[in-house]
Amino acid sequence: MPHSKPASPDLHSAPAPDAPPLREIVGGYDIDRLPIHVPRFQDESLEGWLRRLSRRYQVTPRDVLTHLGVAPHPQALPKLEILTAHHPEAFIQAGLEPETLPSRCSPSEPPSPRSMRTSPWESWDCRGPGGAAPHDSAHAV
Amino acid sequence: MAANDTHRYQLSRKAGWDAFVNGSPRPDFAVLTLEEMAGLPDAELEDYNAARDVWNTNPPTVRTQQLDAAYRIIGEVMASNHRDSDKLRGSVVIDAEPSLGKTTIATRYAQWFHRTTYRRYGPTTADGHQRLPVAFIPLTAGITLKGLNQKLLEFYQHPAARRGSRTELTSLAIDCVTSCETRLIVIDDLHFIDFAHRNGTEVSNHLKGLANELPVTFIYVGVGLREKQFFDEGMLGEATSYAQTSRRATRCPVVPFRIDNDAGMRAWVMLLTTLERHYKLAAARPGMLTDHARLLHTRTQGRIGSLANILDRACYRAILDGVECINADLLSAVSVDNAALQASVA
Repeated sequence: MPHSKPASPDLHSAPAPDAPPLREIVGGYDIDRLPIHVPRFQDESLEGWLRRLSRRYQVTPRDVLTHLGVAPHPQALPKLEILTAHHPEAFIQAGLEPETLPSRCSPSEPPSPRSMRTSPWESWDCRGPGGAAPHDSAHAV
Repeated sequence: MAANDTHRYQLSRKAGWDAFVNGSPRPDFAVLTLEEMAGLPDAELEDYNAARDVWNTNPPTVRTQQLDAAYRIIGEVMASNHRDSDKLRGSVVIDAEPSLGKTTIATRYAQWFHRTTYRRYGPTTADGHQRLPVAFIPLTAGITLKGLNQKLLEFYQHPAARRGSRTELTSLAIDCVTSCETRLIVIDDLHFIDFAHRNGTEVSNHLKGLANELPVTFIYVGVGLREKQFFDEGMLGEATSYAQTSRRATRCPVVPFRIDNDAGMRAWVMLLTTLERHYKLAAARPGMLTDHARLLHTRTQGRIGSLANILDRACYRAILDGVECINADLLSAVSVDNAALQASVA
C-alpha cells in the first residue's frame, strides 16, 4: 500500500518549549453513569428494562429513578415514555442507548405536568409499535 | 483566578477520584516583581496574592527516597495482580507515624495505576460496565462491617449504598468490584479499626474475605498498625501464628528524613532544593530553604507533612509582611503543628 507524504509540521500551533508535556487522557466517558450496565433488549419495554435494572441493583424501580434525579411523584406512578423524553440524559446515564429513547415510546402529545403522572392504581402501559402491550410491563414502582 | 483556585474533590466518590486522577496541572503564572506589584490596583493585588497562596500551598509531589522505596514494595506486591483469579493476592500495608506522606504515597501510586489501566483498556469493560480500576475508601472511627460495605458502594455511587442488609451489601459490593474490574482498593485510615474489638475483628475478617473472593490488591494505610495488632488480627501469644494477615500482607514502612549522616542530609537538601523552586515570592532566591536545612529539620523532625505545613505558613507570612522571601526569622516565628512543636522543644 503506497504511503502518502506526511504533512509538514504546523510550527505555529506547536507548544512552547517550556510548556508542560501533554498527557494522554482517555475521554468521552460519563463518570456519573450507573457503574453496572444493564442493556435494554430489543423490543423490551422501558418498564421491563427498568425492572431488570433495579433488580440488578437490588433496589426498587422508584429508587433507581430517584437516584437518577428523576424523582417520581410520591402518589403516582411515572409514565416512563414521558420521563425518558424529558430526562434523556438521566436515562442515558442509566444505560439506555440514546438512539432508542425517542423511537420506542414517544408521547403522542406534548407532555404537561399533569400528564407526567398516572393514578396509583393504573399500571404502566408502554405499547409497542403494533399497539400491543409488552408482556413484562411493570406493575409497581 | 478561577483556574488557580483550590481543587475540591472527594476522593471517596468515583467522580471525585476521577477528577483527581485526570485533573490537569494548575496553570502556571508569572511572578511579579515588587515594582510590578506596587503598580497593581488593590483588588488585583488581592487576587494575585490569593492565587499565590493557592499555588504555594500545593507543591508538586516530590519523588523522595521514601516514595521510591514504597513504590518498589507496592510494585512487587502488585506483580501478584497478574495471578489468575483462583489464586490469592497479597496486600500492602503502608504503616507509619503521622505526617510522613502515607496517603500521598498510596493515592499517587493509585493515580498512576488508574491512568495506565485506562490508557491500556479504556473506560468501559467488555460487558459495557464502567471500568473503575481503583477504589479509594477512607474509614471512619468505629466503622462496622455494614459501614465498610456502604462506603465501598458509595464510592461506586451505587443506588443501594444506603439500603439493604449486611449480606446484601456485601454481595452488591462484590458485584460492583467484579463488574467494574477494580484491581486496586486503597483503604485509608485503617487505624480507626480496633482489632481487639468485635466490630474491628468483623471488619478485619471481612477484608480478608474480600481479598479471598476478589481479584484485587489491597493497599491499607494507617498509623501504628503493627502496634494495633492489625497483622496479628487482634490475637495474642501463640495464637498469632494463625493470623493469616501477617502472611498475606507486606508492610511498607515510611520513615522521616534524617540528617545525622551524609546521605540523609543530602536527601533532605535535595528535597528542599526541589521545593524552593516552586514558591512564588518576589524576592525568592536559590538557597532560600537549603540555607536553613537544619532549622527546618529541627522544627519538623524531617516529616514531610510538617514541612509542608511550615512552608505554607512561611509563604503566607512572607506575602502578608511584604518580605517576599523565606528566611530564618520567618521559619522560627511561624506556628507548626502541635506534634512538631512538642518535639522541637523537647
